[in-house]
Amino acid sequence: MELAVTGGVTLLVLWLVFYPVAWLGWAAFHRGAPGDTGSWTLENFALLADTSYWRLVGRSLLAGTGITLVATLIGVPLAWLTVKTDMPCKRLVELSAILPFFTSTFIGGLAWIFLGNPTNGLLKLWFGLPVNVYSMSGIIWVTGIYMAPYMFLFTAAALRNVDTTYEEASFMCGGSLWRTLTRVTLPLILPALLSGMSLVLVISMGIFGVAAILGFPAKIILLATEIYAKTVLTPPNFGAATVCGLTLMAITAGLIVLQRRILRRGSYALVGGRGFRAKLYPLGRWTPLALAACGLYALLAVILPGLVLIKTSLQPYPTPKFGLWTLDNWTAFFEKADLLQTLLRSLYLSTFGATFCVVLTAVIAYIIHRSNAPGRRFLEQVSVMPIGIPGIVMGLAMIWAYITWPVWGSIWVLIIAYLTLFMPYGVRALGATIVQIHPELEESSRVHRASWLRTFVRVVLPLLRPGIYSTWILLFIIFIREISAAVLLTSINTRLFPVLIFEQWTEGYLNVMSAGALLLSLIMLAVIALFKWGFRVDLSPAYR
Amino acid sequence: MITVENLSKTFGEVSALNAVSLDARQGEMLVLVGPSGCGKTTCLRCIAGLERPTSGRIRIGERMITAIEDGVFVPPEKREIGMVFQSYAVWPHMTVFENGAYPLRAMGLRGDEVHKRVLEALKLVQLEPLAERYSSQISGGQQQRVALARSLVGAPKLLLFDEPLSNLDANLRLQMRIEIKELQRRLGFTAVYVTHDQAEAMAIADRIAIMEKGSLRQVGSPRDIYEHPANTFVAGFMGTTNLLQGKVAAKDGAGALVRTASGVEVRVALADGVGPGDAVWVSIRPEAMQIRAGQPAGANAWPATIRIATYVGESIIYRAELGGLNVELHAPPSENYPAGAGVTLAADPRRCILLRE
Repeated sequence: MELAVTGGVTLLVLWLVFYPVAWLGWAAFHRGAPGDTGSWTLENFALLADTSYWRLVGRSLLAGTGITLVATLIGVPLAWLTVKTDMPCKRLVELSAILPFFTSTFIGGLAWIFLGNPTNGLLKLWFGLPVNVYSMSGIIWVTGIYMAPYMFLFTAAALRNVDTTYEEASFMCGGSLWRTLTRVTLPLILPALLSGMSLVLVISMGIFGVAAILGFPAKIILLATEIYAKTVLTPPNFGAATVCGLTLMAITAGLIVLQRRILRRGSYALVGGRGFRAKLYPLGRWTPLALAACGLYALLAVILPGLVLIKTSLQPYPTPKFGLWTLDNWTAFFEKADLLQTLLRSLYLSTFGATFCVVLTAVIAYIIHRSNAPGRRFLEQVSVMPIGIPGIVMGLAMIWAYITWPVWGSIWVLIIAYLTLFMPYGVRALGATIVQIHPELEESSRVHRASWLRTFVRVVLPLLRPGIYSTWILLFIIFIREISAAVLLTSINTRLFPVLIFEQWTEGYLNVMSAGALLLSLIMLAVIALFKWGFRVDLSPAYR
Repeated sequence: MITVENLSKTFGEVSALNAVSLDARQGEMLVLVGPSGCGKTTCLRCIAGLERPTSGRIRIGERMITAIEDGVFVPPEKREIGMVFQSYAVWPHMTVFENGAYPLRAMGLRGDEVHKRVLEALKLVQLEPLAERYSSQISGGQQQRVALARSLVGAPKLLLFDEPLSNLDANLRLQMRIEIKELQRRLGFTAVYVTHDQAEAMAIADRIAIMEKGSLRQVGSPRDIYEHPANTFVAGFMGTTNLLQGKVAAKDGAGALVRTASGVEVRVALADGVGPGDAVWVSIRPEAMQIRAGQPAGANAWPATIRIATYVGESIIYRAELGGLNVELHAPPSENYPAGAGVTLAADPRRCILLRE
């Protein structure tokens, strides 16, 4: 029974991950378009001899590195302030650091168009700041501030595991705060920090939304946007797109291998021998400065973008002025015949997709952590592999792999793609919950006359429930906001809501687009609020 | 009542149990004791059915519950046992009452019967007033009692204890030790009890089975094992002892004379199965050695020098040097010698135990 389930699940996961990837590899060596491939060839790789191609790769790496640095420089200090000091308003700071994680870089990027465009951006017109988001530094800055929550969460988790006595021992030895931070705290969390940074780098390299809306106007093309351009814009060049996809995936997969190595090598025994005492470092006269820094981040990442989207969605055209208030954008949005359909489709996909994903990853996580089945380590490795596959590359691979299948052109292709891409998140989050359930709780049930099934229903499931709920929400949010894989896979019949917003941008309806972006944010916030306060679900297992 | 025959278990390459055979009689408390990694928990988990042995048989009464060679392996829930776990394993999503009712409901009982039996079991452990609490609302000691009540409620044929007291603080541990013993006397259940704490084993056991590296080293009553250990491992693990290595120098009707490499001669009263020239050990418990001033006279009296004297209230623990060896002995507090003092140590040959391995 155990073996059959493990075998079946492993085959399914292998299929999900390797079938599209194998097609991508195959396609690189063939002429023609998906569904209509010709003879064997090496000519797709002629691209590699082109210096402009390597400039593209270099530019993508530069963007990714820059984004990671911005995210680290914002996320790490914020995490230290909230975890290790006596700064007031911590819950508010934590909320503002996590909120962008629960919304989307894409929506953030849309808002920053109004804040930072070079002609009538509000930062320029109101404050005289010479900013231009349509630039490399713009892409790095905007993506960076929305990737900072990842660094915040990684660092905060690592810092919570550092026993305060290590730091107190440093103070007792005469170390100053700076010395303690750089010689004790930082080295202790360094493996976690580096591993978090490589994950952020992987995600940043694959980001499509922001790279497109800020990069295309300035003709700054990155690997992710190049794949889109070569696939969607006429004339398509699938061979070149495929080579770009493989290059991007080689980079991200390499980074994941690196990250694994860092984690394996540097797993310090962080947990001290005795109980933790959360001794907080007193900030004293620095408190206002720390609060101001946190406030500035909240202002730039959440408050200003939110307000500017609200303002723009209520005006007929982008303007720094107040006034001309109108509901036309909203009505235009709701009058579009396919809007409701698109919205419902997105909700439908996210609901079912998240549910499938939770069921699948719950079984995977249970096998990994609680069975003795041979091959469970292998299953673990395969199931977290998609972390290294950027969404847009997955989209491209899905086209090659499934275009001749009957599911092609239906919502199921998207569900399969999302299921594969975001499986690692489910495996992680549910795994963390399962590990916390002491095995003796199950064994005690078996010994006290309950069958395997009764044990699962009466003991395992109730104990797993909080983790299942929070993982479901996390996946629902990720699914509903996902755009990278969707831009290549949606057709007229399977258009999803984020893609609709993107199309409004392509067609230049910026104010209508603002209404759409706001609506998407509101839906996500409403779902979170419903679960958090309505069903009293603790969301922390999903992101901790 | 419970019979284990030739039980073996390997994890991959590692052998956790080597052909262990054991039995516990009706109403007996059998304690498995040994250092960590000795296989005692694996043995218990095999009896519970939580681990499948590689080979061997287990019977409860006349019922065969494991016979790997014959393809018999009864799942844990059909073994009619109760078990108390190290972590208590009190389910946090159920009240104390629901925890207690769990085995009965799994047996298919409902209504008044369940109510009556759960309250009876909770009464045994004095937890009736807390029946509606959740585990987060009660102390560790109380959780331990819930686990005990839950294991008793289904009137199991056999009770298993897996280091049940190791998570409690020292005082509570002593108290629970006595309570478990009293409950067992009163209800007459048969139990297999695993611990790594030799003092706990001595206090609670009817019989002790000592394990090391997956094998059984000795089975016997606490007194048997303490006074007549079968080998140096048992002598050293159960209590403190001084082990002197030497060779049999002479043997006669009154025992044997053992001489250590440094020339210390020890007379032992019991020396069955050894002959002159055999390499042996002599075990002398710290409390079996007397200390006195002056020069040694007669057999089994040796000159020694006090190294450290530690006053611990009811006695003084001396570490002394005897013929190049460090020995420990316990003396009444009235016998006061400073460090560096030359003394005489003596031991009755009947309390000097000859060990062959």
